[in-house]
Amino acid sequence: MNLEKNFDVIVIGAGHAGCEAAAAAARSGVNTALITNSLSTIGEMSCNPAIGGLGKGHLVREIDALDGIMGIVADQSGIQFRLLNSSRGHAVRGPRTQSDRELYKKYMQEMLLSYCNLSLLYDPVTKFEFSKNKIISIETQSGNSFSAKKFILTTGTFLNGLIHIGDEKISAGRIDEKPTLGLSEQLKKLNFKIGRLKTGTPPRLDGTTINYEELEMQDADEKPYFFSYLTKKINAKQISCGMTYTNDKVHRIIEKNLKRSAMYSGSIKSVGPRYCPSIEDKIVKFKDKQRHQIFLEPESLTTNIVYPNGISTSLPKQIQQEILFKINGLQNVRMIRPGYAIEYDYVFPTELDFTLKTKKIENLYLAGQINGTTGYEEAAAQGIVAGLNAAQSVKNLEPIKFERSQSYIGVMIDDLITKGVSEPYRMFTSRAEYRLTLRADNADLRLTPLAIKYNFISEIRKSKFINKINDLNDFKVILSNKIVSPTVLKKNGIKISQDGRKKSLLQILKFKDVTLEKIRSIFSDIPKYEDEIEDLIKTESHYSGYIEQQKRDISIFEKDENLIIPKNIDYDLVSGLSNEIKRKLKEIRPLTFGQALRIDGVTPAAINILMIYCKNTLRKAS
Amino acid sequence: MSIFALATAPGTSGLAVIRVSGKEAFKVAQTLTKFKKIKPRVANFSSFYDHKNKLIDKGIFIFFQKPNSYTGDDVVEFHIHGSNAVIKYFLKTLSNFKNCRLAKPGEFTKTALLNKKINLLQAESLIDLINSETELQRIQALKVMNEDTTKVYNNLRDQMIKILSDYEAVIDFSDDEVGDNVFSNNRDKLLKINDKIKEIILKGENSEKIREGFKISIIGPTNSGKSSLINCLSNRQVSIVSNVPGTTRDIIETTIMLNGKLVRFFDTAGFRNSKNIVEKKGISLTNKNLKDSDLKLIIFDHTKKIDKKILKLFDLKSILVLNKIDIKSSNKFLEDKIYKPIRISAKKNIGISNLVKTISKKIDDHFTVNKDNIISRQRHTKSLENTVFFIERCLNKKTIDQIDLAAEDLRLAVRNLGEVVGYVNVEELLDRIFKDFCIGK
Repeated sequence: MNLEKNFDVIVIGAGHAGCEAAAAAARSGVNTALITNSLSTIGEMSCNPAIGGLGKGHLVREIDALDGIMGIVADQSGIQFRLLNSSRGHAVRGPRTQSDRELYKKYMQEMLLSYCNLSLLYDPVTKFEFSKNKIISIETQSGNSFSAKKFILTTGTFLNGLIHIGDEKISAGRIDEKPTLGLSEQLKKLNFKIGRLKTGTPPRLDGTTINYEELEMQDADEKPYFFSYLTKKINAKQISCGMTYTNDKVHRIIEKNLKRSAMYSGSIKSVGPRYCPSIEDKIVKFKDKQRHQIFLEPESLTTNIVYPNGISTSLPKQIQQEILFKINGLQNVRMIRPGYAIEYDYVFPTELDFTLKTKKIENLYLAGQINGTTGYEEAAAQGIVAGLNAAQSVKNLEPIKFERSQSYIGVMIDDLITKGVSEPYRMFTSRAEYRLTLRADNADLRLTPLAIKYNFISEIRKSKFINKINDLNDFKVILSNKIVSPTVLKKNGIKISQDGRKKSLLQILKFKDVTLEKIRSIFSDIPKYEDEIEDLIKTESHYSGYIEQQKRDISIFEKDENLIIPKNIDYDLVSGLSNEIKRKLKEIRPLTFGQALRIDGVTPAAINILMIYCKNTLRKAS
Repeated sequence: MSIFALATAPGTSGLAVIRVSGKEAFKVAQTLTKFKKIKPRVANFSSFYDHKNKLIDKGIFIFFQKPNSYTGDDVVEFHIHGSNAVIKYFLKTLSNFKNCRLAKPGEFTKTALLNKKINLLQAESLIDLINSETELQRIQALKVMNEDTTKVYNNLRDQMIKILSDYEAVIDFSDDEVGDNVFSNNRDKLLKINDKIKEIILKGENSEKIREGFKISIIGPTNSGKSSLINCLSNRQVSIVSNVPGTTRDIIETTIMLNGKLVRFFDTAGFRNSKNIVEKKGISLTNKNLKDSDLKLIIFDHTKKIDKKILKLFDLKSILVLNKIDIKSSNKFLEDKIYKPIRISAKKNIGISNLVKTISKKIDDHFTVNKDNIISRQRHTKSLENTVFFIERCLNKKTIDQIDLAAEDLRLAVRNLGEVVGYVNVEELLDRIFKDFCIGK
């Protein structure tokens, strides 16, 4: 067989970022290759067997709105759908599902194979070949060389990965998988700023040895909330999770053995995520807490492996086992493999521009954990940004910019490239300034038009979306054309202020207790639309006042965001800026004045000075 | 959104220029001047009226049609008298227009840049100007920000971060063991913060009074001796700060130092003719004017009949003065005990010390002057008022399904507070959350 060796885009690494990047590039119509160590680890969930969550669920919905693949695969392999924050307001609800690890990989692989212009290669990459500031090809273990116009590096925790279990150190990217060595040294030589982060994972348990009888169980939602706008029904069997707790005995064992944990013995110096603390951390930092919750999450319908969510640890193996025996329900548990902490290299994301292209190598993109993030969803979202933009660049088309005002993806990209990271970056809804506007339910309204505009969307999805928009608009017109008086409403049991002013049905929907069912019971000629559309209308009415306010804020934001700073500006020539601010501007090289203002320590006065300088030099130049 | 600001240096001066820029500028000019047609780039002499048709001042205004203006948007410049009172009232009137707000520092320049107008200016000198502007602001801020006031603001900021982080934690970490009782836990704290901010605003207003002078209206029939009294007080006291007759047709203002207090006397034309005030519709307007004043001096010629209608205006914040006691009169002022009149002769300089003492005491009685004002700029007051607005809106939300809206209100409150005390960024919030809650399954 004749092995194809020249591609438009080569994606290195087939985790969540890599898969999404490869699919996005292929969807954009360029000749793409995804190269990884082996077929069996494509789409591997290295840590917890779940997709979505608060903030993260928003990201997956957005990926799906861009015709990405994570949402569909998560839906197909979902074994416990739960809409988090369902008792809270719509804007902060986060879809989540536990996914069957095996099914997830299976469907992900099938999905990737379905792209005809995407080649999958299984061969560890050992080296980049450079020509000046460009990568021309990569070399692999088998001695092959592959060339491409653009390269996307998505190596996750594999760059110089080092696993810690107690005082044991294993060089690895994931457990039992070889790390990627040498690549980060190559990047270092090119003056890339490289740092080191840490993350951890709990031990894995044999589910057949867990005594569930005494444990509280948590079920899936009765009505699943899917990630994908295309998914209509559940594909896999739904399961329940057990819940148990640590206790005083456990805490004492940990305290006694603290010095033996890699985290506390001094062997790990890098920073880990605060929102995902190890059990050691929880006990040291929250001494007063009597117990900590543990969710026992089955990893698959076909294996017995259980993921005990809440006790990530780097204690020695036998201590981990000792602890498990003291936990209710786990008295006889068999530990399949110990938990561990892993340290890995990451590239300072301030090295990247908004397309995730590195500023130093003109055809290299980085996506995923390599950029200092954590989480499958964050990785996949970066993958789609890098993949789409690499393809745009191959086709000599304009780059696609995701704005903070438009998507969580935009919030994340801007945070990464403008502020950098000091700990593994995770999405939270609190990071989004326009949270009430950027909801999980309207991800398609926000982003699918972009997919249509740049033509990386399947026909099915496109026509479905257009139909939805039409229905939505029709319904809005019907509702706003129907004008009623408060007295009529009062007669029918809808209490709104009797100010005598007539209102449209759309305006009435704003009120808390007014539902479309209620309206239909009064005005029987109002047609019924799909739940998706009805929910959207109700939600938007509910938030309308706040959304209007955010719209105004967004237009102010966009004004600043449209003020471009000349690319070749020499900050040293700008008089009146402090050296500190100059240094930061030189490092980040913000694209717009809006972005410049978001850099820590850059003041509005400095921005004014910069603006005047830019206008003045531009005038002289022209 | 249109913006406006005083374009000339603050402080009393012969002339002040107020600039309005944006879509509403033209409409603002029409409303204030009652001109229907306004030719661009022509200086017009006009009276300026507020929303209630009250005359504010007379002066010159010029309309610059976009793009031929400083900012590139429609701009109107009002050249008015440079008295603090007039400037303040003018700005207040402008802020009552829909979609008009006080400009932020450098905002006119920024708009000019946005509209590509900056090339009309000497860029270098502008840099210097902005630098000196911020330097001035910095010095001014430092002055206000002594250790104690910094403490007050930082304290507020910390409390707000703490509360907002509670709300955000309930949203972002609901699957962890973060309590749902965020509303009840924080209600009292929010109320307390709200009260504190209101107190700051009030103190600011009082201290503005110290800076700008206490307003005293002098009311009395014609020839009761108002002018003589003012002259007498002015001559007697060491320093006359200003004497600006007729900044408006209606108001005569005299500012003097009185026992170490800056006091501004107003004589309203309406009261110069006592018969008119009760008959004319203008009474409500005049009454409003009276309400704005901190103190009233009601003055009668004791040889003449007391006008009962004027006497009705007497209240706790009034001093009744009987003038011309050097002339004998058979009139008896019956209700001495209620009105406690001060008997003077402005002409012969009798009883003036007593009057000065009484005025001074009355001011002390009614305005516990807070020396710990910590508001340094007018826009801070606005930001603090907005903060109060959003806190109160947040307090109206009581159920967990409104947590996102409550959090949004709080975010807006914090953002407005941030305009005064420094912005709160997400990292600070997260720091707070991770410190207080055991997050992470």
